[in-house]
Amino acid sequence: MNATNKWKSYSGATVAILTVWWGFSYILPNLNLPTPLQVAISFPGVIKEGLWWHFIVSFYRVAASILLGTAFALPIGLIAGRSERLNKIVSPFISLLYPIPKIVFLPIFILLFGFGDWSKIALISFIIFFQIVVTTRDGAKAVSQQMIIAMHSLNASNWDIYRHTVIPATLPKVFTALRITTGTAIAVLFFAESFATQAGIGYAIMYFWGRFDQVGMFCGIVAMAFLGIIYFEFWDLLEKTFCGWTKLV
Amino acid sequence: MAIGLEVEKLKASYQPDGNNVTALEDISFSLEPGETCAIVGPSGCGKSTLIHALANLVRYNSTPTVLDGKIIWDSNPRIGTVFQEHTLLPWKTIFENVALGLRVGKFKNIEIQKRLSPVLGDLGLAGLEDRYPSQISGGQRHRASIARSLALNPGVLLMDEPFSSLDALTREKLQDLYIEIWKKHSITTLIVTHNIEEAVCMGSKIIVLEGPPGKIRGSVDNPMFGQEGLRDNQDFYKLCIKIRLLLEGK
Repeated sequence: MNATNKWKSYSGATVAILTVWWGFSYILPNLNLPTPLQVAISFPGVIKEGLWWHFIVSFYRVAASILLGTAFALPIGLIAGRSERLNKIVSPFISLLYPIPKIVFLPIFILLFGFGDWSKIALISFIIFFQIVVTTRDGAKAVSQQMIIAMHSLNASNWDIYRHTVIPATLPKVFTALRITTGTAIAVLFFAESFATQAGIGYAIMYFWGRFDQVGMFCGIVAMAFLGIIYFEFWDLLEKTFCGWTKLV
Repeated sequence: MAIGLEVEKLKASYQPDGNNVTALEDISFSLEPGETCAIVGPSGCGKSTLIHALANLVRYNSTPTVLDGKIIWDSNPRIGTVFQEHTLLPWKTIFENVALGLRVGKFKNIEIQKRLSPVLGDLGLAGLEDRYPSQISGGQRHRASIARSLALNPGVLLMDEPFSSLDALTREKLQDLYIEIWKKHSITTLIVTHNIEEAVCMGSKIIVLEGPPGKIRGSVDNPMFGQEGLRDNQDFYKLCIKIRLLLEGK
């Protein structure tokens, strides 16, 4: 999708969401929903008053979590996908731990890493790790054996095979996993920031909610949407740079 | 420089599900440096296993293959292999695909440019260097696949049904193109195919396999190899019929 088309589709989706939101704020007056216009007018002020700081804290936590989770998941997934021996060791752990809602480990992470950033980052990384490792392993496994044999026929070492074949073949799947994990990371972040902290968009939303400040709360929700958009656009940019071949006709 | 090859009582077996399956049995033949040989046989007779065994690729198969017998290369073998599928990497341009073996061999950029320029020209790929495999035709992909092997300046080229997925006309064009390249560089070539006409076009010697397990049923010399307008010659079809009868065991 080129920049103009992307802009058009974002505009279309925004108009549709705002229309539904506006409709609900009129149809259900008991909910005390602010209108999009009220939020838009208040947004710059709320940002200036401190939401910008919460935004940066949340942005940092998501970035650190994705970096940490991916740094462990990518090599393990890539090797497990090509090594039956390692896969036999890794797979039972994934099967046992992946289905558990890992948010339940938040108290343990708080005990281990305290109330600061690291307990939240560690929890989100832990969740992200499983999503990336499963996708990467399956992506690496799906690389055609014929391609690997062809690489061997060129005297390629194992590293050459990873560098020229397995990693590029798996990357598009990794970007899909990163998009999915971004959503998960932000959702978990909201939960993790909603108690035992005084920084982050999650905290800000709960703070406004506690004061019955619906406009402030919606400013927080909009900020969280922006957080997601930034990450999604970043993945798109990276994918376009490293996996441009997938879009060729 | 072309090299020769001697295969003596080669046997190959593998264990797909615990049971021992013999793919090749008692295969013996030899090739002089610069000779071309076509191996023709029905599907499943072990033709691809033979290529994998000679290229020393069998140890990478998902199932272990046991080799017995001797494969003697008369000097350090620089083996190029061309596969049935083009096996180009879709994320690399044609230039980078053809240069892959050289990159793996840690050649410098200037040397890669120097080596690739004539190879790309010989195979009619000049001008397509910046395209990706999905942007060129099936025939061009196969040419790029051959170019990738030739770029390494192999002493022997092993081809595993390289043109079988192409339409008849493109296949014939590629056969003629390869013979032109062979005339220029005299690369020892072993091609396996199930297509009798292709075997007669591409081999100065034609070995007929039967199986499974793959065994040599007979071999035929092809004095017409490399002649201009070979397919218009009555003798070409006579030789095809002779090979067909040999394949049918008559």
